[in-house]
Amino acid sequence: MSRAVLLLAAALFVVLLAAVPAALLLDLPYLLFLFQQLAILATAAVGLNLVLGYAGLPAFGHAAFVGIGSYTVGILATELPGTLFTSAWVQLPLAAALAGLVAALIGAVSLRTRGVAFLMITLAFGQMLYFAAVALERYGGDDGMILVAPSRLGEQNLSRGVLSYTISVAVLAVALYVSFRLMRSPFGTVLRGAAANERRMQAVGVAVHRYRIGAFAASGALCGIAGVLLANHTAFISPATLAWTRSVELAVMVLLGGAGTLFGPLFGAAAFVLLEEVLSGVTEHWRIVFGPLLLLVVLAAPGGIAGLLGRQSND
Amino acid sequence: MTLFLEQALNGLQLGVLLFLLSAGLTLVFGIMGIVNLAHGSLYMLGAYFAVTFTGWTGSFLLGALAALLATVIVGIVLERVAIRGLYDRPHLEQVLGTFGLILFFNEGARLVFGPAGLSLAPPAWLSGQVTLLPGVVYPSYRLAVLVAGIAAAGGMYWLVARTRAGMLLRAAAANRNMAEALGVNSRLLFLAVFALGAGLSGLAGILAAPLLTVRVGMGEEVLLLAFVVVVIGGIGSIRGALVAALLIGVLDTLGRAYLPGALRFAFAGPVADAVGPALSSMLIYFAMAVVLVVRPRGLFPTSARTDVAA
Amino acid sequence: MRAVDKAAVLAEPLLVARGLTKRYGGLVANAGIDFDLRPREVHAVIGPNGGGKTTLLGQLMGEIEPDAGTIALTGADITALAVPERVLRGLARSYQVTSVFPGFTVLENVAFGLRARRRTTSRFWRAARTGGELGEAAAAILRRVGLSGRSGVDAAVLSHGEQRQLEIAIALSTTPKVLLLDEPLAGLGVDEGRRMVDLIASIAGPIAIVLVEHDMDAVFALADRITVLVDGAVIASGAPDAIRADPLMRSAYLGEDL
Repeated sequence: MSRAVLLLAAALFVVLLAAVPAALLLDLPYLLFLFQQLAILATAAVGLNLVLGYAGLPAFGHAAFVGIGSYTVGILATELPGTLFTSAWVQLPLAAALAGLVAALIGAVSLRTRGVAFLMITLAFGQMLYFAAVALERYGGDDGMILVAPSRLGEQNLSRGVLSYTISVAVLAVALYVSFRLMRSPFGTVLRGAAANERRMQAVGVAVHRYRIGAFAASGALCGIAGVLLANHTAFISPATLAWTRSVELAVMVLLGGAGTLFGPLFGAAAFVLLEEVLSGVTEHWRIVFGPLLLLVVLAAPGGIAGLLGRQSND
Repeated sequence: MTLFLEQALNGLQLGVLLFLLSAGLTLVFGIMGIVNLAHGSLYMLGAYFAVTFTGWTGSFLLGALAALLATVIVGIVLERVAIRGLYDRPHLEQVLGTFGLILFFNEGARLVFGPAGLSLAPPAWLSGQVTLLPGVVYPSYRLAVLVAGIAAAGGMYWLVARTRAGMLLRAAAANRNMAEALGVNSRLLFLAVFALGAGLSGLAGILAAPLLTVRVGMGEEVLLLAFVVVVIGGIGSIRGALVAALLIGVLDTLGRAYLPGALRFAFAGPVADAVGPALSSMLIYFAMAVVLVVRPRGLFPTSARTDVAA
Repeated sequence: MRAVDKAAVLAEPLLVARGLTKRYGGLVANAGIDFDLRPREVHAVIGPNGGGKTTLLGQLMGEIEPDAGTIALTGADITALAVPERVLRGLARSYQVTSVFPGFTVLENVAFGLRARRRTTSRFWRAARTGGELGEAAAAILRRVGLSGRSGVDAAVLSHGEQRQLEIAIALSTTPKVLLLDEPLAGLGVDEGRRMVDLIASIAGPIAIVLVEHDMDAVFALADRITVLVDGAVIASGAPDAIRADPLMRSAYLGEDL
């Protein structure tokens, strides 16, 4: 990993932490709101990077796993308010397990195909879950629902404020650590090796398929956790969270930052969120600039931000 | 029974539109190895152009013709300016780049045509109903869409199966290297294929314009359906796209019409009411999953570049 | 030529294929091939390009599904087994076009097979270290193929000759009983080719080898038995001297090679 990559990652964390006193002193609650969104999206992108980057699989349905996390919070808050099930300590592992399980199932079917077909199938499975969410009439259907009971954490909750913000940043840090450990482990080296040369990996006796399904599960679980935080952050849950364009946006973050690098998803999420913020401040039609910008990044800097900062590395 | 016939015709009509959309998509995948998310944008542009040009000329036919031409021109410019740089790039990067194009086209459409949805009345001579069988009436315009779509599909079939250009196209879709060995000018072929795909997609948008509200985002909704069609049919296979498009069109339409009722027959009312709409929306994705479990390379597999890892 | 001891010749074959058939559309790549490999033997498969040699290796390895026929390894039917399961039962192969893990060091390239054999690849929390016992085993394999000095280098930057050596090392990392070599001399110069022949001779014996190779000098230097494939069928099979003397062979294939 190049020095510049480490420095930028450290700088981003310093900014994320310094935002707390800055927001309190200067009375800028919006700063925390924006940065918390950044941290949550970065967590989901770290999850997606396990599959998209390290395993080299073009998966484009991960918004669905974020959505599973969000709906877990929303449904439990509606059905079982005031019980144990609105505790973050219950919701976070439950959402992670649910999203991980669904991701493993979708992965198992999708991995029967390769290349473009795989890409389209993951998109389509994501869309299937989107329609499932639309069909949840009891939970607002197309319109979604307001989160009536935010996830409790002791006496407090994850709705807004410094505690919620700090936890989102901490979760991001943990996600990055998990990604770091996972990808240096034998499991992770097999995933990366299979991306480099799948046929040979089979020929040295590794059943690649199982590892990839495992990667899907881990990646889905991280996205599910991000979904819990996102539902609390926006206090609103709707099928829009699961739209396929959201899946592509997550992938865009990973690629923009540098797929298959540890900090790439963080850089990409930061660039995406901050660019959107700055450009939309200039014009409401900011996408007409942002879109071609993405195309230019692909054509000019295929390694993303991490690639620009230094050698694209595996470690 | 009459309702069933009507629904079946609606299904076929959706299938025909899906075929127009996915024929271009499958050729572009098969021949150029490009994942083009902006394919749906061309559908949207076709519809917007149809509304605009019909307004200017006062004639649906003239407007449609001009819209078709305009979409093809946009397609050619798009290939030259953007798509060309994405050949032989990993699929991931193609998705990123063409997603950027979606944002551009959507915002562009919002700027040029305004944020509100537009509607287009079918031409007066197609605004009535026809009696197909005693007691079975069907909107003339929908029937015309069906006929026009079948004609376009027939034209495609003729082009692909009977002409020399079509032969090269099929060779290239099945095996690009072989086509290049045969001396096909791939730059020109790619441009032609992309323009053809753009035209077909635009035509689908033009035909669909009087049936729905023309608005930003309509391309993304239909793109996923076209993906399902392409995957089920087998990437690069025109015949597969035709069969799968009709299958999906009919399955989706009949599923939405009858599945909730069938469920109500089997389960208690509230359960059926809750599950019915969900199941019918998800039906085609289930169908896709089933097809893939049985035949991972689709109904009509080609040797197109599907097994090239990303 | 190495002597094959009598006991081994009399022993049950390690690898037995019966009636292997593979069609691609109208083209018959393998038409009912019977093939076997005895313990300690080097069995060369030769024949013109398009004769079906690589298809045969692919089917033996499990990468290509046969349309008909059976394959048995050490007496057990493996026809239905996937590639990794065959590897764990002692089958390994090298590839005609170099197939290594770019972006990983030479040592790491060899470690994949060692870990798969020890079934430690699924550990997902401990760092994948290549030290200790695993590192020693990997270093021993690299010494055998002559890549000791290059263990820390990215496989992608090795010379072609070194990549061919690594190709063999990766195959050895799974501790195979049977090794399928697909044109190990492809693209090598005269000296490199000679070293490769020495390397194969040094690993042969404990490991039985199926050798697909175009270089006839190498084939006659290494093979205990030769099978000739033409148009997907076995047209001759026997001791090297018999093959060399067979007039049909001289006209059908060997031609100017002799």
